[in-house]
Amino acid sequence: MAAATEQTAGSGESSTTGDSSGPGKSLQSGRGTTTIADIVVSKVAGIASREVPGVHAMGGGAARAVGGITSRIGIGDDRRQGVAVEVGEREAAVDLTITVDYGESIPQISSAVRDNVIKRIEGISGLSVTEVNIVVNDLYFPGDEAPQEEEEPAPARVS
Amino acid sequence: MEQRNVEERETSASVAAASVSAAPSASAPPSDRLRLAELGLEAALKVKHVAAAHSGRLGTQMTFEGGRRVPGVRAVAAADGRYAVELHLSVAEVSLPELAEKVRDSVERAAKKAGLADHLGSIDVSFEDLVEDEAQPTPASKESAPSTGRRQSAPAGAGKKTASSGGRKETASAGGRKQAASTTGRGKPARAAGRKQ
Repeated sequence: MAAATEQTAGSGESSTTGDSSGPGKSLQSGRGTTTIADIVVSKVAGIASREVPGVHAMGGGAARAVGGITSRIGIGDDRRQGVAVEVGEREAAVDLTITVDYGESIPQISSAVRDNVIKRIEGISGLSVTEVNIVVNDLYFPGDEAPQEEEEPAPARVS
Repeated sequence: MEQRNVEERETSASVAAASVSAAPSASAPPSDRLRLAELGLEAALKVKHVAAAHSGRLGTQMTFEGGRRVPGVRAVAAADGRYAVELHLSVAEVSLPELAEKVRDSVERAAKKAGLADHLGSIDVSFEDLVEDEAQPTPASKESAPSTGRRQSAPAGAGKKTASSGGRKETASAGGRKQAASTTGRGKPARAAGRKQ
């Protein structure tokens, strides 16, 4: 299945200037270094992606299936589902896999996701985001989920 | 050759014996290194939005001395005789550079109060995990959901915001990723500058 892919550069290009207040510069301190783990950036990206209306789910079919099982038994963390990041000392690159609600504009949703992810990561971590690649791997149709029929309680076998 | 191996074994055994005998007992007063690790972690946990110490995936990020363990912090001797303190923390979703500076301020104050300021070297802060901050609402919950320019719920100016990002290169085909990567000069190996080794 060929998924639609969008790729762009974030606002990190401007961080190469001498502006010391921009993202990617504030992690260096004379009193010590600040390190941000990949998990932190991926959780921020996952949360920011889900905030956008029209994003139905994150991750591919297998990831969602596994994520559903792990979240039911309480060991999963679906905030990182569908998110892959590469984090350096000053920059980060993000790959997202999303499922979009049918009827929504994919370019507009992907643009909103990209803007929100860049804003959140740069605001929280201070890293500059070099690229956000979005893979729209599926569409969600509201009718896909069969309504759950309310089962009548079985009559008591003993009185 | 065998004699040499025997000598090496004896040497290593004597070193091991010396290290065991030199190890302080549990009742011995803590060293400056251990005190710095303990007060550093205590000071870091006092900072708002710092949730917990994080000892790493394998539980190796800790200071161990004389049977006492301080998880989530490593105090390492530096060449100048001071101790660099590495803090590994789980935090809430806030601005992390600012939080790191607050942690450093708190640790420096605590070291000064304990009379260990001369022994304190650099303070390295590592944010290992993000947790939900129940006391403080996250920025995501404070702000409204970002607009996608949809007709149903979008404000009047939402379309302009989307249009303003049109300067970015976008491709809508499966092969577009490789093409866009080559035009921006960022292949897979060098996507983020200053990558970790």
